Amino acid sequence: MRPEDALHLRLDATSAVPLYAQIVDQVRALVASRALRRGDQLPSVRDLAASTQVNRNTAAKAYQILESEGVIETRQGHGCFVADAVPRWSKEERQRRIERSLDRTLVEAFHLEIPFEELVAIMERRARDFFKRQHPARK
Amino acid sequence: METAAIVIEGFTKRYGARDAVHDLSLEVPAGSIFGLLGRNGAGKSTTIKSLLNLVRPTAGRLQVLGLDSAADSVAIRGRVGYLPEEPCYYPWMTVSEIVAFNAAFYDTWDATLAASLLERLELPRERRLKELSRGTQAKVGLAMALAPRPELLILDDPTSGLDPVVRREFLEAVIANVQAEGGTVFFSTHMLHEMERVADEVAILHEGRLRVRASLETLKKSTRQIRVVYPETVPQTFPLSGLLRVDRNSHQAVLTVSAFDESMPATLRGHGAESVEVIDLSLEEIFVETVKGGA
Repeated sequence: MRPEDALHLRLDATSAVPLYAQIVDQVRALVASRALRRGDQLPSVRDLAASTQVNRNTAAKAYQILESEGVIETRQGHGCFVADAVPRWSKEERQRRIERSLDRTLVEAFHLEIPFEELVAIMERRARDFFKRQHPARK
Repeated sequence: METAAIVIEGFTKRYGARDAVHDLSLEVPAGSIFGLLGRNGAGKSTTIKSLLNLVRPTAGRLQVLGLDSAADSVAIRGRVGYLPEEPCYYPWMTVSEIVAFNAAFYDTWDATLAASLLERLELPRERRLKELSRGTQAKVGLAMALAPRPELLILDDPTSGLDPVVRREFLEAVIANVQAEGGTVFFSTHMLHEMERVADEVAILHEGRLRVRASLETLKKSTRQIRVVYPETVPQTFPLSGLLRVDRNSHQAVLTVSAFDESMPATLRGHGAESVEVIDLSLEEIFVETVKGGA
């Protein structure tokens, strides 16, 4: 039985980002972009490792992280599924995380010498497009 | 299981006046995927053949699954899957015949798995081996190495000369069938892109000697490049140890280091650098720098 490569991950082993982190990021992105929805089944750790030709421990680590973040859940005997989108963190914790993520972007913008107004304009445009994709009914 | 699948202690193999392998010691942890890297003639094949008693050591000891490579070689062959670089089969046999032939040698042969591998790898049962392409022959070899569900799979440059499609199928089958079952994989290869994806541990052999042995993660963290820009001329020396290589031009030096630590950028800034950028290297780049540079 051929494992279904449902995730279509593109992993770059030469990247500075470790493979397990690439898997975590890409699965999160698939859920955020609604390519994967609540209740969708993911390949097993074994099938994922085999179909993407990565070490089984790499796949297992990625799934462990995704599970601890509440992105996926394992149902004994049934497999791994995209979890209900219930946030596990407090509002403060979520804000802290997004601030840290934004700080990294700000540092990069500084090094690229992007002026404040331009940066805000770019962020607004990207944010609008992203949120529109999340909620297709809204405009 | 905390034991080592392979233990090599002080292994030397001499041919005439030359040591093909000199004083090699290493351990392969059980359940790991271990990559043995080295240029052609570095001693990888000699090492692997010694594990299987196809080559007798001049000095040292080799243990496979706790058994001595020379004294217990028959027992070892019954528990280990082995795929040599040049598979040596009977070219007049058909795929079905060679599978049946091999099955007889292994207590743990799983006929259902063998059948499923033949199908999965799209191997034509009734064709004679001599009629098959190199890639297909290699896949037959792999199916036979995997069918006994070995605790240890030893692969000697299995994917050289094979096309990218076959290489992927190989890797997929090895991961799904051996690693998933808790088995150990000992891989000698030039295919560094594949190693980079799957290896837990790597060792680099150069001219018969062990140059590096580390987890892949550690190796990638330690062997890195630092691009340093200076306001005026680039200094002649740098206050860093483990320098494998220095490339200079007018205001920039690129330093390749073998033991990177987080304090190095600050040290370089203290030494007059205007800007410092740390660059991660691919396994291929690390390999080239390690076998060409340094002491």
